Amino acid sequence: MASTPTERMSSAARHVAPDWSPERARVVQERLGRAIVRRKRRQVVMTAASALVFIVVALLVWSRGVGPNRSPAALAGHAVTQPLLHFEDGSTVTAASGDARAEPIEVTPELASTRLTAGAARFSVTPNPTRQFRVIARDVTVTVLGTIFTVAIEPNHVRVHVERGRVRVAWPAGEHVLTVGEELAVPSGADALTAPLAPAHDALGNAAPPEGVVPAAPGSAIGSAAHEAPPEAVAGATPGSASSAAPDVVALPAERHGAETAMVPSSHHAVDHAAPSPAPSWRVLAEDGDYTAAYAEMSHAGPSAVEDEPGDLLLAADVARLGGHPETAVAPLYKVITAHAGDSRAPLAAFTLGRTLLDQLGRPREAAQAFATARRSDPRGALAQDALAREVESWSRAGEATLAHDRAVEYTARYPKGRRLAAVKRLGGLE
Amino acid sequence: MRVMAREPPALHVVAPLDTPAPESPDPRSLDLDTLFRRYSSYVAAVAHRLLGRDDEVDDTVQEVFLAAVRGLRSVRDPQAVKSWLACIAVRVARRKLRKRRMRSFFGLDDPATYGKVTDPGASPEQRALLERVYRVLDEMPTNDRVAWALRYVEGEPLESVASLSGCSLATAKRRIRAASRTIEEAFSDG
Repeated sequence: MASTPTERMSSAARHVAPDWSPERARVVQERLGRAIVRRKRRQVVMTAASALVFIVVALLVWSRGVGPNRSPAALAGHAVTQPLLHFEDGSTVTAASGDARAEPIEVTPELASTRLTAGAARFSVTPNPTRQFRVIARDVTVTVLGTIFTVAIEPNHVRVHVERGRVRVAWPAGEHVLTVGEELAVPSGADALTAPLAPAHDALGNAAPPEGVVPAAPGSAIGSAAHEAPPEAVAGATPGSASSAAPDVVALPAERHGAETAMVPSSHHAVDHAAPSPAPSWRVLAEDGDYTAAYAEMSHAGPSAVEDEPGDLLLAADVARLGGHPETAVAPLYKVITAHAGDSRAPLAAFTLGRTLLDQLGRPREAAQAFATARRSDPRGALAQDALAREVESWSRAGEATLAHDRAVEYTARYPKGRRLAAVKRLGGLE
Repeated sequence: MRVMAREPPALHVVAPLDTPAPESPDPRSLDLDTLFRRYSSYVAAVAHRLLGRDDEVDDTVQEVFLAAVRGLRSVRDPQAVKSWLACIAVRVARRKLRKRRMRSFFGLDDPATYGKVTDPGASPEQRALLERVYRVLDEMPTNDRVAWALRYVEGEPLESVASLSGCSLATAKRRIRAASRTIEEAFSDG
């Protein structure tokens, strides 16, 4: 007889058996069949759900990679994105070429006027029906109606390309409205100015194709749409016409609008620029961007060459600054601030004076005072924030740590999310 | 082979436990019906001896064959089908035993009743012995219980116990020894 439970189990274990009948087995197998079907359904649902998720993710990724403004022309315009100017309404000017230079001329509630002095720049303008946005490049004026566009100064042309919205392009002999995807090359520059000019009416007053067609140069900063233009767009084109014909223009459709025909300048244009005289004055040379020659001409003409009027004084200051004689720019700018303090351009003159004193003449104390004047003249103007930031910089460079600190504190209080906050904190010793 | 023909015809052949398994076929030629017909009773017996409760056998058999459907193609050796199913049965039973212990810990499991653990041929003394043994098994670690049950209830050799438990021979021996000691102590106390 077994003595331990384990040993006794050996004989009892053969009685441990289930009551496993065929009927019971059948029931279990039916349940098993249903479980297999359920599992297959679950697998199908999971596979479908996974595929759906994959498709959704793929669509999201694709939609991010493919969007508007992916045309080669637009990408070319984005190649260089160095910011040049910011406006308080969100409008921006960014460089589209390495040598781009732009500066504000007049910033008022009714008008924001900017001059492109060199290179190519991209203008993103926030729509504002109460304020005009104007870009001046040499003798070409681009008036904006809420848009994104690029203006490029080239040796013999000013080229305008519209990415979004509409702009009105005006030149001494006429004007034209450009819409999305269109591009306009206006003959301009020394060659164009010295070329024999046809009467504006002859060039623009009829609907016939213009005599001189200026195709977009391949590889230009704002695209090469001339290759995409339909035959009628280049009808009448004559090589070298830019220097031998009137400033005729043609709007070359960009790639996205390749089917559109060339645009003939509108017959209801309004010429708001006088035709340049054969012997250009310093002002014409300045508008052309030839500041060295303009300065020489201005100096030669003597003090009477500059009228006591804010626009002429500012232009004279520009000629002096950009012509390599910044010390000569101080007087006309100072005159605008003092003699024409009530003029809307006085804050700009003060700001420009500050920049000249700080950046070109190395006189930071006077620069700080000029920036302070610019700020006080128009506390809510577009230049106020930058003026305060430059004031901090000026006091910092002058070794006036306390003043720099005070102005930096004021900046952080007024503009807690200001675009120059980091630099102001650093220069004002707030970090 | 004893044939127990009943309706429906899908499942009417059940091999008794002491009947040797038929010639092992190529596992790749087995479909689920064939597999179930040949081995369901064996799987049910293993589950019953490990769990000690008849009411959990059906679910265990279903789970074993559900797992077998997925893994049948991975079986290369035709002779290994039966032991492979036993291995799955041990794994499923161990999971159920752990779940049972967890439920018991939180007071969610019904008190164990082992009145149906034996067949009608068992003597009253054997029935009482087995009921008491299974109650003691309920109190010990699951791995020890499974190893002991495979060795002394299922009657597997030590190497087979180690293989079915997924452990080394030494570990299997240690588990069996620990379980035996617990049972001896329980019986010596009362």
